[in-house]
Amino acid sequence: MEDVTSQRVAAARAVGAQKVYGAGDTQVHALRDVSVEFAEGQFSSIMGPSGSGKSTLMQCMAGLDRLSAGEAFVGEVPLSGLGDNALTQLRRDKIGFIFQAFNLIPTLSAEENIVLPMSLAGRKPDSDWLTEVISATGLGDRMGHRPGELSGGQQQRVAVARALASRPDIIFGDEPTGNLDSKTGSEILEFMRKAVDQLGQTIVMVTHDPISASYSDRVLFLADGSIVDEMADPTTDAVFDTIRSLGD
Amino acid sequence: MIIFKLVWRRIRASLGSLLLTLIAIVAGVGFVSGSFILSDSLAATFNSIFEDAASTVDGQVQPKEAEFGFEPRTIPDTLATELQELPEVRKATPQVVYSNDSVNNFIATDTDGQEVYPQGSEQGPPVLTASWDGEEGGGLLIADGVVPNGIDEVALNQGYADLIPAAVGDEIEFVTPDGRKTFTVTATVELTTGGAAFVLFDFESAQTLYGKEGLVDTVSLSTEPGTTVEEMLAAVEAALPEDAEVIDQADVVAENVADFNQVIGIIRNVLLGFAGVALFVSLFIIYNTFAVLITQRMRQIGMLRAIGATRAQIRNSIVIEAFAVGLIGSIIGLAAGFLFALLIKAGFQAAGGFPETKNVLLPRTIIAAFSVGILAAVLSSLLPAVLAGRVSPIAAMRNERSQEGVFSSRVVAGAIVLVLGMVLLGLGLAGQSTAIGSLGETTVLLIELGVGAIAIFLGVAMLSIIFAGPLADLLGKGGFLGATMLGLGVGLLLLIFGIGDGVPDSVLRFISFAFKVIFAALGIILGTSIIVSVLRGGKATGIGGSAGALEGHLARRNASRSPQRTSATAMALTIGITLVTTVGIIGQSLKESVSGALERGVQADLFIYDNSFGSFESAVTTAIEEVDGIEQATGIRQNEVKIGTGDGGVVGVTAYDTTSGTDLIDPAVDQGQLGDVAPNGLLVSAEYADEQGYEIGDVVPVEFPNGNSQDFTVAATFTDTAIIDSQLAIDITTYDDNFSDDKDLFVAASLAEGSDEDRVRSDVEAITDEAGTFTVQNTGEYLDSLSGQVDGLTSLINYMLGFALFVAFIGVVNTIVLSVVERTREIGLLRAVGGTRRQIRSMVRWESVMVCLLGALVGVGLGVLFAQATVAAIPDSFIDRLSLPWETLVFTLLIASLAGMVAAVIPAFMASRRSPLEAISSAE
Ligand SMILES: Nc1ncnc2c1ncn2[C@@H]1O[C@H](COP(=O)(O)OP(=O)(O)OP(=O)(O)O)[C@@H](O)[C@H]1O
Ligand SMILES: [Mg+2]
Repeated sequence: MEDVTSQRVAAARAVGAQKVYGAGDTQVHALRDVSVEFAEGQFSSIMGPSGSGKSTLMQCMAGLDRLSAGEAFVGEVPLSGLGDNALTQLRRDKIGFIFQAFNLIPTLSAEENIVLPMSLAGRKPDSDWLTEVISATGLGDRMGHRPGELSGGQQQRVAVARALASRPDIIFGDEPTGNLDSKTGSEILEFMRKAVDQLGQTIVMVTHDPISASYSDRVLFLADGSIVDEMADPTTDAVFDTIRSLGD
Repeated sequence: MIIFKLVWRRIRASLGSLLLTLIAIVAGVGFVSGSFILSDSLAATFNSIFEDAASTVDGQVQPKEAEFGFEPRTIPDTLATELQELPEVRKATPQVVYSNDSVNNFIATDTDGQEVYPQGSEQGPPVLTASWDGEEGGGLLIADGVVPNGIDEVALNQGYADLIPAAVGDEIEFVTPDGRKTFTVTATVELTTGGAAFVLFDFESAQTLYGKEGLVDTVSLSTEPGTTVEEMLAAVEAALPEDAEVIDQADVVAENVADFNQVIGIIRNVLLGFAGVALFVSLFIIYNTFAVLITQRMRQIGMLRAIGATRAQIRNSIVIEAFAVGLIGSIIGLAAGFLFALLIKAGFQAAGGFPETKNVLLPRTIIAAFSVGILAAVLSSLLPAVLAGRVSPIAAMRNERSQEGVFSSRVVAGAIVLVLGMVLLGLGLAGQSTAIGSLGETTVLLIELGVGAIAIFLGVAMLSIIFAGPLADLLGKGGFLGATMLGLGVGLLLLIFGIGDGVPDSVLRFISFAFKVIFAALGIILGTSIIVSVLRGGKATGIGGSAGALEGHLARRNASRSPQRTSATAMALTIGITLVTTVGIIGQSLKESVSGALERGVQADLFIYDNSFGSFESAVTTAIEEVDGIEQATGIRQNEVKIGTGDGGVVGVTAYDTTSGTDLIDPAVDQGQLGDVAPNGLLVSAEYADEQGYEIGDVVPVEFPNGNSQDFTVAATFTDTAIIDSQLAIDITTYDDNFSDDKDLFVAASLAEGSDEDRVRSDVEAITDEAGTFTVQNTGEYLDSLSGQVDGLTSLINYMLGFALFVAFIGVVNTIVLSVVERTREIGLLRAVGGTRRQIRSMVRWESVMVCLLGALVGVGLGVLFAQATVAAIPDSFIDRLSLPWETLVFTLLIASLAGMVAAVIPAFMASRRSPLEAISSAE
């Protein structure tokens, strides 16, 4: 296994991360001692069978949930030491999110949704950057529309733009293309790829789809709460093979 | 700023859901502001009327108020002549009024000889009479004709003249206190002061007609030019005898206005009370709406939290939303209040005799409207807002709704509040209170009772999340009625026949009361749980079951799935039902107590009283006594005397013919002899005798309002305070000797053995018809009419509570609408897999019925409890028994089910319109 992270600074990392849900008989070990780093300016994918702990890992690293043991860092900030307000601020200022669905506030226009994190922080968005992000979505003329008036793919592009708009240190996406057909999905993925290449954005994405994973720089494989494999510069076929070999 | 934008957009998007909340606030605020506007307008109107009427008057001479007693006081009319001669006085105008109650004493008759009342009945606006010096001004203008001048001449206000109908020059027969008399109408007048019917005589004729020859009630004064008002008043003052006084114009207005202001104040407080109930109901509805809206927006809130909205931002956004709704509700509510006031005034005016009123909107009203509306909205949104702030960001991804923490803390809080309420209510019932700071003992007591009742209510409401789910489920399965009836039955039996009712000590009484409450609750829970276990094993039948397998089952599941929501809605309805039940039971108990208590003491066969409950010439009594077939008759009077020793002070005294023995009135003599009361003995209530330490034979000096003093001997004590409701009674001849009025309030008569009641009655009626407007009743009719008065009172209260029920009904519609909106996807899915519109509609309908029945059942239970508590707290002389109006209670439950059906009409329609497509496409 080649070490692809050591040369770069980590945008986020986890050390000995464990997550246990429930207690007693119904106890579930969603994460068992996971240590991982996501380097700055890198596009990473997390893959694994359903229930392997992908979402859990992402949520805990993004400060949406707390680890049972171990530590998660965003930059050099350990998350376990932060209270709710500090965590919220961290999410607002340093982290971007793209969910599978329900990304947008239906009562706000596309543009209002994009600047929402900044509005919540009471900050003015950097207008040059905003123009760039909006033009990258290719939805310049639809910015005044409500989410309900946009297609699923368009909505997802708005969601990516929102994640990019506040220039977060890292963007987490939980199956951002999971709800889309492959063509629309690849549009989004190209958009994300462009953000990494041209804007230097760090992105971590959970996906089930080897083709999606092939857009990223690196794939982590999770099974039963542990990282079981890792691959740099993945191709669709290589990912597919690894999944098959893990399944055996 | 984004928060405001979010809130504003949200309000616009969920306008439908908020609309009904808005109605709830509007109703509450409308009632509050309407009460203020109405009472302020009335007060201002009467103020200006009296100012207007007194505008030509600089002062007024009147007899000094008696220290106690109800004797009408007068001054000799020579005084007016004397005052007229003073150089400072321009004009001294004497006036007389008919007795103290110048109501319906001179009533015109139509060509058939029937009395003409403004509304066709004596219950309507009264026919008033007054003396008139013939001058215009002070709100009076001659419309036609000339001023009456003579014993057989009269002036009428135009409205009454039109009604009779009578024109100037007509001869009209009047029913007067001295029988029927014919007067010639010499003038019609316009009155700006309002009043439906006015009968005016010239001063001297009025003196004769009113039985006040040589007397005046007041003399109004105007000042001679060149003299100041102060000088004039001072000069008059110096010329007055000891028992008369002079007041200036401001005081004239103030005195006239004071009575009205008191009445207006009572009207206002009653209205505000009902407004409070309506608001309390609205609180539940608003709370409910926000709780549901937040559940609906769970994903949105989670997403906002994930991308960086702080807890405070989420919380504030909800509170701001509530604030906005409260603000809008207050504005509309204020307008609604204005309409409400206008409507009631229009009602008054249509009823006749009501002056044109201004509409007064005081700053106080505006402040009250806004603070009440906004506070209600913000307060009831606080808990949902805090909960929303706690929504975990992960909820954005997982559609979970775990609120177990809230659930258990609410149960604990509910239990604490319930216990607190019971302690407070118990303390209040036991009469345990101390003055706290500036609050008097009675105020603290009232606070204990009120806060206690509200706390019990809130406690039950909070705890209801435990039982709302299972009960609604059970209700759907049927058999619930049986279960509750069993439980309630056990509870009620304990409440009614529980041990310790006779315990005199108030603390012990409270303890036994608390025990009974606990046992009653246990009974209810036990009864319910027995039926539950029986049903679990058995087959499901009943409301939900019979509604068809699918929709009945779904409705039941829906109602029991979100117990918080079901319970909050049910509780909104419960408030209204609780109050209606409480009032109903107290009314019924009062009714039975009133007639039941009098049954024993009332021995007479016939009862005669003036329709206005005013006093009448004792000549009527004498005439009745002489009717053939009347064995005995006595007038009954009431007044006040002052006890000359100890701390006796001023006490009420009743007078009747004690020599009639117990044939007319049986006061239940305890000690001494009733026969010893006449001529100079006292009949003392056993309680008062105890208190004062009187023994039979004790000499008690008694002072009368006219200043006379006389020594009385305690002749007997009595225990039936229902029939004689004052501490003292004396013989009627003794009364005659010491009081100057010769008037009775009441005549009680017995029939001679073997005489024909119908004939005697018609003879008596012939006398009373001549004398004015009287009611003649036999014992049964009399007791029924007393119950009827209680009925009138309770139906008036229920009428107002109906409004609170209406608000609660809106609440039910609200919740059902919300639950339909919330289940958009689910309903779409049901449609997609083949549910028919009919099935969807019936599902919604049954859920609504279950919620309503639940609310009604809890309401009836609490109502019984509160009524029992109230009856226990009220002295036995008022209410001495608890009586349950079963038909009303059952009827309430039926109405509640019906209301459930009606409430579901719109939501059911909405739900059935959901297309299967919406199941898939609805994103939020
Ligand atoms: N709130 C929770 N309570 C209990 N168990 C949970 C909870 N959330 C997740 N789990 C369990 O933790 C494990 C990991 O869940 P996670 O959502 O991280 O899986 P995943 O890899 O994202 O799966 P998928 O690909 O299906 O989204 C699963 O077994 C899941 O059942
Ligand atoms: Mg997942």
